[in-house]
Amino acid sequence: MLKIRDDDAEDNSLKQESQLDYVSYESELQMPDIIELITKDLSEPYSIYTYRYFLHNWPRLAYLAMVDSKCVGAVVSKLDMHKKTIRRGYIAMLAVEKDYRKRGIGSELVSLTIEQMIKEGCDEVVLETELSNKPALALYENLGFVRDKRLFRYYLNGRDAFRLKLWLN
Amino acid sequence: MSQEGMKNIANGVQSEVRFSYNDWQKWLPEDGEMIDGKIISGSEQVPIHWKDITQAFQNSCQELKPGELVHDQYFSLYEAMSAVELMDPKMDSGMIYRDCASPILSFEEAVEKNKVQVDNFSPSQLIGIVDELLACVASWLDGQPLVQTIFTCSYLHKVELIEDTYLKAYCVGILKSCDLIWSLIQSGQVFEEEDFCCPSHGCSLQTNVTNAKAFASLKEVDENCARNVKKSGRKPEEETDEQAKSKNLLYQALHTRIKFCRLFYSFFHHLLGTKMNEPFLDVVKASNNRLQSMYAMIPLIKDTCILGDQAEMNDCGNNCMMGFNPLICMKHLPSQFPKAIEIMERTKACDYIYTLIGRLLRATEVVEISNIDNIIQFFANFSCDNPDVLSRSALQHLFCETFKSCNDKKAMNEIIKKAIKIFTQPPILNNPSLKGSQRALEISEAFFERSDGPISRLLFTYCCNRSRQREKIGGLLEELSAMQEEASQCDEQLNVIMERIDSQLHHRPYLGLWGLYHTCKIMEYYLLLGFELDLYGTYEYYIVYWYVDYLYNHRLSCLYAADKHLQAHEAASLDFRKNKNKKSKKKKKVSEHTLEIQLVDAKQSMCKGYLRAIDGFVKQEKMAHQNSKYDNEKLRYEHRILPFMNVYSPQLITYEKFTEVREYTRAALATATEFYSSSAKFFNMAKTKLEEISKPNDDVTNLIKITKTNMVVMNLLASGHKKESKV
Repeated sequence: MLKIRDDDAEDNSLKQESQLDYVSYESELQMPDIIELITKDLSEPYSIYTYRYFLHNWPRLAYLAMVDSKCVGAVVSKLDMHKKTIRRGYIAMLAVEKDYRKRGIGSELVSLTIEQMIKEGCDEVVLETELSNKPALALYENLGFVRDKRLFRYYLNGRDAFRLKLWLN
Repeated sequence: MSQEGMKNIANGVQSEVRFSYNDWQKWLPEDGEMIDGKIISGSEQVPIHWKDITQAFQNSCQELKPGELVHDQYFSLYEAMSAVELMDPKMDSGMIYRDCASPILSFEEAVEKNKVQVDNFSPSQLIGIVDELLACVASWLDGQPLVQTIFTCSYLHKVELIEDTYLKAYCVGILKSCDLIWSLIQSGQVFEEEDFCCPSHGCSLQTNVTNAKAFASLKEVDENCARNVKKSGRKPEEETDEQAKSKNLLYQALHTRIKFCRLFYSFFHHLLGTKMNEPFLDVVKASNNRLQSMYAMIPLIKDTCILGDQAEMNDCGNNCMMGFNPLICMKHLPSQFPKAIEIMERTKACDYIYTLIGRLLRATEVVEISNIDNIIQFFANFSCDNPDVLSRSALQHLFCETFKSCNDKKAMNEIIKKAIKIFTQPPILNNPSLKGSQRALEISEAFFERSDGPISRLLFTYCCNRSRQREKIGGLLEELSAMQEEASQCDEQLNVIMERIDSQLHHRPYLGLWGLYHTCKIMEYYLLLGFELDLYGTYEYYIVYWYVDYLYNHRLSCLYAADKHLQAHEAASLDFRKNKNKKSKKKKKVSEHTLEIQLVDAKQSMCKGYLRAIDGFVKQEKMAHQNSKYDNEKLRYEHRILPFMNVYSPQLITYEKFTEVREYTRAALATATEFYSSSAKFFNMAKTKLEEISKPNDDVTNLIKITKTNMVVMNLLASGHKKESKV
């Protein structure tokens, strides 16, 4: 359902000019930052209610990467039952500010949300990514995700997607 | 705010305030201020009083804390996700109309105000319109919504308002064909949302025109066209050669299009017609002739697309044909993010229809096949080209009408029996003494009847798109496995009966082998389809090839055993014939399974070649390991082969067993060079086996090329070439 274009890829460590902190989502006051960051990279628009659905229901699965007071990265996820038997985590949105990419911020944000999911008894984590989005595929595959399904013409622009999956159980 | 109706759900700092309907009553406006409409309740008209509540609303919002939300009890955040923000051009499809210079008229309004031409078209105008309409049909078949393709042609909104007989007949023909196409696609049930958009959003493909009338109109304009072509062939005095020639060409081009539309419509009409008295094979034969004619016409249409009027800029700034408007139906779309649609370019649409007709022609061949194994192979080959949804549905329809129609309930049973007979020659289908046993007949017939289900499902799966096929194989394997189990039980019961009849006679696992054969093939297909869909990382190749190798082994054993049964049967019937006719010469027959054995054997050697190559890469650390944070090879292995869990045979290989074998093989050779040499040997072996195949087809020739290249590369690696490079 949700589609994210994330061009993040990890390698270099952060150049330490300023302090990078990862913080949990706390209140809707952080929402404008998250929306601004994600809208920049999005292939399709989300209404404010899409953000609210995730952030209000699963605030503990959302994390922000902050450099000083600036939000440079964010991850938004959910965790609920799938087919009544599997506790399935879903990474709905991930974005890193252009100038802060290739520093492992995306990976760290995804790891934070996965760690929280694991604490909550998650069995598997899924997400969709565009077939041609090599950096996003590399990021998730480096964390252990596999391409579980090919979704033909998944996006409004007619392009294919992969359903990526990480099995935890 | 009502305290009773308010329910706070603490959720960190967020909270929700849910309201019941009674709460909303309090927000209803008071009397006075504006009367702007009427609510009709029963027969009574109640005046509506409007009141501006913006300020009151904004004041109340001040009471809410950050993150607090007011919503109806049945309208949760999940439902809210489908909401669109009005006036946001990215979300509100109605905003498209903002840029239009004048309001968009409906077809009826446009006709009334003389804004659209409905009569006195020139041939080039007609060619332009019908070609554009065909491009819309192709785009619809390619998966775009009806509203944004065919119904962008306003003429189709009310065909009775078209006065020009040519255009009217063509439009009715297309509308009726599309309605039949939709019925065909519906009946096949092999479409998914990504393949095809069902007609909806208030657009109907149905017309009041009867089939008889529609065909009569097309026939009439076809004949008129023929006359015009003939007439324009004779050069009038007042025209130059050039003028006369181009006029004649235009009439010819228009005539081809009218004939095409007539054939297109009659093809679907006849194929789906319910003429019980006409044998379906005759229907297919006639359909085939129509397809052949259409196939020959498309290149002519493509070459003359240039003669038609081209699109022009309209009031809304869109480049489109007269009578077409991409925005005319947008109001019918549900309130969702507008999807950008591009109608195929006209010549590209011709190519699309040409390929489609080629596929439909190929699909008609299925009715000639009389054995289910060959039909399964036909479906598998058909699916290889990633066919469009219409040809997949047509194939399914042709098969079902031929072998599963109510008229001939035995047909499916017969083609299953025929396949099994060719596969293992079981005595139940040959031995007259066993045929006499009522019980044996009952047992076997019950099995043949019940295999219909899983086999039909197998064929259905092949008709889905390639990605969905893989998704459906899990369920299919469960059914195939149950069929296989039943086949084995059936074999055992028949053996008991046979031994009772004659202690020298035995019933071998004839039926079980056939079941196993199909199960193996689908399991292999599941794994190999993953390569085609690009689902595997290089670090997963070992597991996949290893498992495919294991499955090839099973298929080979199955084929060898079947082959043995065939030989035994051949020997027995030869003895029988010899006794009957002592002069008959012994002639060695090539077994039914020889080619498949050679091919699977070669492919298995290729698998081993790949495995040894990977072993070499691993040894030399040329291949990236998957040692990421959350990867767990055991879990990955188990989930990758999860659909095989419920299969009775070939038995599932556990991860522990897999790693044991992997370690054993990897310890067998010491250096990467040895692995590369071993890999080259396997590729060479595969090549030799493939070259032994008499009359190799394209697949075999391609495989030979691959084995040759791989062998050379492996030999180079074994000799130490490019030692430092990584995979």
